[in-house]
Amino acid sequence: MIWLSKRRYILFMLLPTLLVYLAYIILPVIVSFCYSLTEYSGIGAAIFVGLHNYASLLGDSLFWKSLKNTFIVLLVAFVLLLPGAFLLALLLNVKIKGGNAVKAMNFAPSIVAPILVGLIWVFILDPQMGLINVILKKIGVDQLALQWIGGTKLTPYSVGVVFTWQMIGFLATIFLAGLKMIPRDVYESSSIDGASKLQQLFRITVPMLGETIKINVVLIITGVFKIFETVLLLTNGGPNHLSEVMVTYMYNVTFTSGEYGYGMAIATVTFLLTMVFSLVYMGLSKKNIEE
Amino acid sequence: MNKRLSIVLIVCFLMLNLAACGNSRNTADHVPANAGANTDQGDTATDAEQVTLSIAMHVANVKEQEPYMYGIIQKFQEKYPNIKIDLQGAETQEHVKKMKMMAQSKKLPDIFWLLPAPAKEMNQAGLLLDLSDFLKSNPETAASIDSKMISAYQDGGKQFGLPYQALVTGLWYNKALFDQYSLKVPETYDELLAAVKVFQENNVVTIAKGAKDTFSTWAFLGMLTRYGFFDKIDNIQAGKDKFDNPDFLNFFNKIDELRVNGAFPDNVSSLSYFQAVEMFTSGKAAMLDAGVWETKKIEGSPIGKTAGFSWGPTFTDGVGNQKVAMAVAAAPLVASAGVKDDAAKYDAVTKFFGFFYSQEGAAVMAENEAPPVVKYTGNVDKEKYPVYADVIGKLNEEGWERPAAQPDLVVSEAVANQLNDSIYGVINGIYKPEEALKLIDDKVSK
Repeated sequence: MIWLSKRRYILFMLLPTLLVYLAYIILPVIVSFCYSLTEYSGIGAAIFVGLHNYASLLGDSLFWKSLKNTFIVLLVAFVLLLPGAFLLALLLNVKIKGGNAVKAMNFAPSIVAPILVGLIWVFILDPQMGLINVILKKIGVDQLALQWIGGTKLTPYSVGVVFTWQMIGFLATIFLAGLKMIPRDVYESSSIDGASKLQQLFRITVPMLGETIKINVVLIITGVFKIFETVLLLTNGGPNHLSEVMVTYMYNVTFTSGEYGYGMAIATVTFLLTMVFSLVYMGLSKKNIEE
Repeated sequence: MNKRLSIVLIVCFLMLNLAACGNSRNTADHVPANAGANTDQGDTATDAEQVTLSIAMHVANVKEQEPYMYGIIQKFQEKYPNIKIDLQGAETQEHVKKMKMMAQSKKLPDIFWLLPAPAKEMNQAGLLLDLSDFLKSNPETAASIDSKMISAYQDGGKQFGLPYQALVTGLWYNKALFDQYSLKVPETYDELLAAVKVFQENNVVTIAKGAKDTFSTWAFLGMLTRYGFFDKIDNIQAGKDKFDNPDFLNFFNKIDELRVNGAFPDNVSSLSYFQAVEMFTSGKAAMLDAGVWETKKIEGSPIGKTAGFSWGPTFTDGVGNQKVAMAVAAAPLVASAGVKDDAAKYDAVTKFFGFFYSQEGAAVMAENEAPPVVKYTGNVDKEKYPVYADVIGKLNEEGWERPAAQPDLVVSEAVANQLNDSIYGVINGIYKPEEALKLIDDKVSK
């Protein structure tokens, strides 16, 4: 098997994967970008319009609304999901009876299809028939029974909460794997030196989970920028696009309004934003580690 | 040896992959002739070649959601045993998207349902079969379809489609609720507004609607025609007039007035169309904005005995004839231009269209309580199907003018989408009437 370690053979072995990656990831991105420079209804010939679609985006209030909503979801996810998943992982790391069953239950929302997640949460968040408002009204706090979805303000926050619920078990599992990698003797040495549990957490656990945190942050960024089914089921982007996130708005423009060129411009911007955010974060965290 | 073996294995794997991606169209579409074919009524030969026709529809479950189409296909296959139908279905948006993608790869189904705007574009791109020859060689069929419905699908001298069904839309009502509060089923806007106020006081929803499905604005599109939509639309599209004109503004102000007075469900923005239907059929709403495709469901529901159908209110400040009945061509059934390359398939396609628009086809539609596209000469059992009989009665009522089409079907997809969105924007209280109209103008100018 020595011959396989040669660079040219490695490249040859990777070729099928690279071809698939090229055909199903790189090529569609390039094709999408090309279509974003055209006016195209999906049928017939596309008309080249240069950067017109990108210029139109600047004046499109719905695009900015969808961008703002996406950032609200991102913010909610950072505030709730990252610390939440970390704390959950710390709890799961404690050896208790039935711990494996608890781990499986926490992971369960991640394996539920997003479309079902949306459906489940409609029955929880709907202002009229949803579980939350029904309970709030039953216990006499009607003023807290807000329009969690379908109103003009709260939907993106609700989407952030649903996304958190869906992802928390998955990210906690990654954190848990990171926690298991930290050698026990580091904790033992620090205990002998008199470190408290809190000091161990902030001086040992968090710094040694640097790479795991980085992975989870990138997963949150990429996950938020591709939220689709949850919004589709919760509100379908409504009322009147006020709860659109970038992907649902792109879908609506492309497939409902038949503006393929403009839709691909939104897709390209979404792709670039995801790349930029992920790369900037990775760059910054690398710099911090080096420092 | 290992090296050679690895290379051979990789090459085999790649070849298998390529083979799997190959086109198997010819073998899939045609199967050997059925020697025992039981042909009748003009089927040309008993040893006719077995043909498979692919038909794609706009609903996920054709048997459940479009039972008359499913029934027609079953009867057609019984009559022509040498023609096998490969029926596919997908939800409307998904279906339209799929057809556009298949058009790009020139693999359109033989016959399919499509929205008028993309159908027109496909016709202009030369992708659809010209059905003029079919109509010429079947004059009885041509005569039995409403001429406005036929001309709705003509462009560039070609008949690119034929009406799949009559789009009959308006407001369903539950008479029991109107009787309970001593109200008259509204015929005018003022009567409707008066009913809204009474229902609001009694916590009854007047018009069940679901804004999550923005396409569900049928009755309101019908009302828009009573403000001179078809007198203005050509000028609007030519840039000589605007949606934001005094007449349309009057109408949008009326929608706003209905909202302010509580005509719609409190959670209209998070309800889907299907939930709105459920609200009506369970007796929680007095009216429902929908079409006659819901006849069977309503007839079988607890309110089946007291439900009726109306064309919606007329307006004192409306423009032109107020007695407009929204019974128009819905969307066309079209055929791929590619079928002309295969004589047997072309013959099967024309046979299918012939059967679909025959009295046999119309009878299947009537059995399933759908309004036949052709002039149906059969009878409707009023005892067994009271709601359907009411619909047919409304359709046959004298003195009601039928417009050329539903307003959203004569504009581009983007404008149609915005029109629906603007109507729901006012219903949801998100847009002011002027703002809603300006947004449509923005799409038109774009």
